[in-house]
Amino acid sequence: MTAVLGVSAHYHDAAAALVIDGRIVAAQHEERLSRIKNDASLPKRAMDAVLRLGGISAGDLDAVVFYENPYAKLERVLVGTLRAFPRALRQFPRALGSQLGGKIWVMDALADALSIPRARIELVRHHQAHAASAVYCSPFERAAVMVVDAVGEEACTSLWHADAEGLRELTHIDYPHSLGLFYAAITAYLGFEVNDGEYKVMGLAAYGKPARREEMARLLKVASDGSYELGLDYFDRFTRTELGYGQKLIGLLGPARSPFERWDLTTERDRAYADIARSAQDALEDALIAIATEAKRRTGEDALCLAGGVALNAVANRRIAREAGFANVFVQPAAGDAGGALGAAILGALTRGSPRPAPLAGADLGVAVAGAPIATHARALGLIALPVVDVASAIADAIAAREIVACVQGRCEWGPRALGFRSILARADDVEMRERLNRAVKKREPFRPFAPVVLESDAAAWFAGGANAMTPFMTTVAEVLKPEALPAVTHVDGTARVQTVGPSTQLGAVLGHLKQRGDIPVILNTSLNGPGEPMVATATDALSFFVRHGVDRMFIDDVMLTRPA
Amino acid sequence: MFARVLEDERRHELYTRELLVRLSGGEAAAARALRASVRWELKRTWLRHGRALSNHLFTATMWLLYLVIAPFALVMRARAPRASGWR
Amino acid sequence: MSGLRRLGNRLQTIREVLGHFARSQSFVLIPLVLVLLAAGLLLVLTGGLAYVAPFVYALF
Repeated sequence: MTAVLGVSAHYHDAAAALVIDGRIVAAQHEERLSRIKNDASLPKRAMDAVLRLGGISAGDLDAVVFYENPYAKLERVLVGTLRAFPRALRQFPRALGSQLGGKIWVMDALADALSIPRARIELVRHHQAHAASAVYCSPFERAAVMVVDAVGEEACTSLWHADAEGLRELTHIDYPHSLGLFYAAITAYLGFEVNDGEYKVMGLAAYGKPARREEMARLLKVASDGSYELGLDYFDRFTRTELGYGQKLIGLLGPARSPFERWDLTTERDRAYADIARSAQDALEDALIAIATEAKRRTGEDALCLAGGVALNAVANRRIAREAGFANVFVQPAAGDAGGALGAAILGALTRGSPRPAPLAGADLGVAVAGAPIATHARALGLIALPVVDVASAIADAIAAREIVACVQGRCEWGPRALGFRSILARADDVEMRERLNRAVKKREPFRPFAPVVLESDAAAWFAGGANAMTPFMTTVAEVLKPEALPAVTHVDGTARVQTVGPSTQLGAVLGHLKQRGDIPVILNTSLNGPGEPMVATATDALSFFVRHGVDRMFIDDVMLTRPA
Repeated sequence: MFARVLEDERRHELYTRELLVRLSGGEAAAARALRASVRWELKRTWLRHGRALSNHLFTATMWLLYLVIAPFALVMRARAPRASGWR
Repeated sequence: MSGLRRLGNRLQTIREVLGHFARSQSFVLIPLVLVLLAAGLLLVLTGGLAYVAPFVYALF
C-alpha cells in the first residue's frame, strides 16, 4: 500500500487530502469541521478525518506532502519587502513575524501533529500542486494546464503541459503581476471582503456596463504574447495590505464603496459601482483568454485544465471555453488553495509509482452522515424525525410542494460549491422561492444569483451548450434557453451557473422523479449554510442548521426532519 | 478639620480590618489574606512595567533591525530588478 | 515526541532555510535571515509577536 496525505494551510482555506494506491480516498476542508469560515490553521481536524475515512493511521503514511515551499515564500516576502523598503517599513515586522513565527516551521508542526518522523514530510511547489490537482482529476490523458491565482511562491500565473511523460512547467509570470491580486483589489474597492467577496463582484458585474474599460486598461495591460502586466502604482500592497489598492486607484475610479452600506442598484451611484465590477470582470476575462490562447499555441493540445483561485470565476471559464480554441475545458471543483492539498497528495503518490487517479467522478470526498443516531437527538429537541424508504422520491415530493428542502446526503463536497450532498433545494420555476430562501436563510445581496441543477440528458434542452467537462462541478455558466420558465435561477444577464448530474446519482433520481410527475426537471441548488458560515459537514451541524434556519424540511441520510405543526 | 478626617479614616481602617478578621475567620487568616493581596499587587506592578519594558525593547529591536536591513534593501534593489512578462 | 527530537526538527528547518537561500541566488540574504531569526527569538521572548495582527491577504 502506498498512502500519501496532502496538506494545504496557512494562507486561506486549509484542507487535507488522502491518496491510497493512486485512488483519491478522501479530501476535506478544515473550515467545515472547525466551523470557522476560510480557516487557514494547520488542518488537524481535516487530516484526522481523511485518515479515518481511509481507514489508516498517521503511522501508515508513506509521505505527507505540503502544497508549497515555505522557504521560497519567505524569500519572496523578504526580497519583496526589502525592495520596497522605506515604504514597507510598517509591514516588515508583521510580515516577517508571521513567516518566522509560524509559517516556515510548518514541516515541524506537521511532524508534531501527526507524530511521524519529519523525514516523511515533503514539499512541492504551489502552482505545481494546483496544476496536478487540475490535470490528474480531469478526464484528459494529455492537456494544457493553466494556473492563475493570487500568488504562490513567486509565480502568479503559470502554464504547464501534461502528457504520458508527466507534468512540465512551460512558463510563468512572477509576483507582483497577479490577476488574483488585481481582482482582490477591485473586490476590496467595492467594499466586499477579499477571499470571499470575489463571487459578489462576478454577480454584480452582470448589472453593469463596461463603461470603465479605459481605466481598467491602465490597471491591467495585456501584451501580444498573452502575458500581462499590472499598473503597480495603483496597487498599494505595502502600506495598505488589508485593501491592496492605493490612493492612486481612488484617483482613477473615484471613492471606494463603504462595506457597511446596503446595495441598491436602482441608484445611480451603485450602478456606477456595478459598471466598475463589469469593467474589471471584462478585463480579467480578456487577460485569461490571452493566456489560454498562448497555452494553446505553446502546447497544441485540445484540452485545457484550469486551477488556482481565479479558475473559480465561472463566468470567465465560459468565455475561455468558447474563445481560447480548446475543445474541452476542465476545472477541478476545489480550484482554490484547498485544492492544492489534493494536487500535493497526487504528486507524492505518482513519484512513489502509484498509478494516475481515475477521473474525478464526484465531489463527495469529505465526511459522511448517518441518519439513525441523529434522529434521536432531533426528537430530543422536539422535532419530528421519520425514517424514509425512498429518499429521492420524498425530496422530489417536497420540492414539488413548493417547500425549501435541505438535503444532507452521503459525504460532503470537496470545493466551495454545494453539489447536492449538502444543499438546499427548491423549485426553479417560481421566483417566490428565491425571495423566500433569501429571507429565511441566505440573506444574500440582491444581485447574487442561485444556481440550477439538471440531468445531463436534459441539459441541452434548458441550457445552451448542454453538459460539458465543467458542468458536473458547477464551475462554468451557461445561457438559459427559457429564462421565463426558470426565473429563480436565471441571472440578470440571462445565464445560470448550471450543474449537471448523472441519472445514477441521488440528485439525478430526484430530478427523474420530478420529470415523471410532469414537473420542470430543473431545480434550484444552493449551499447548506447560513450567511457567513462554512457549509454544513456533519449530521450535528445539519441538525443545528435546521434548528436555526427556516427551511421547511431536512433529509439527513434516510431520516426526514420536520417541525411540529 | 484634617484631624477629624484622619480620625474618620482610622475608624474606617479599623472597621474594615475587623470585617476582614470576621470574614476570614481569625487573625492569622486575615494576615494571610493581606499578604496574598500584596503579592497580587506586586505581580500587577511587574506586569505593567514589564509591558512598558517590552514595548521599549520592541521599538529598540525594530530600529536596530531597520538599520541592519537598509544596506540589504539597497543591495536587493540593485541586484534584481523586478521583471514582468513570461519568464 | 521527545523534546530532543523536536529540537532536532527545528534545527533541520533552520538548515533547510539556509540551504534554500544558499541555492537560490539570494545568498547575500543569509546574514539577514540569521539576524532575523535571532530577532524573532528576541521578539518571542519580549512578547512582541503579540502585535502581529492576523493577515487579511496572502501576501505574507
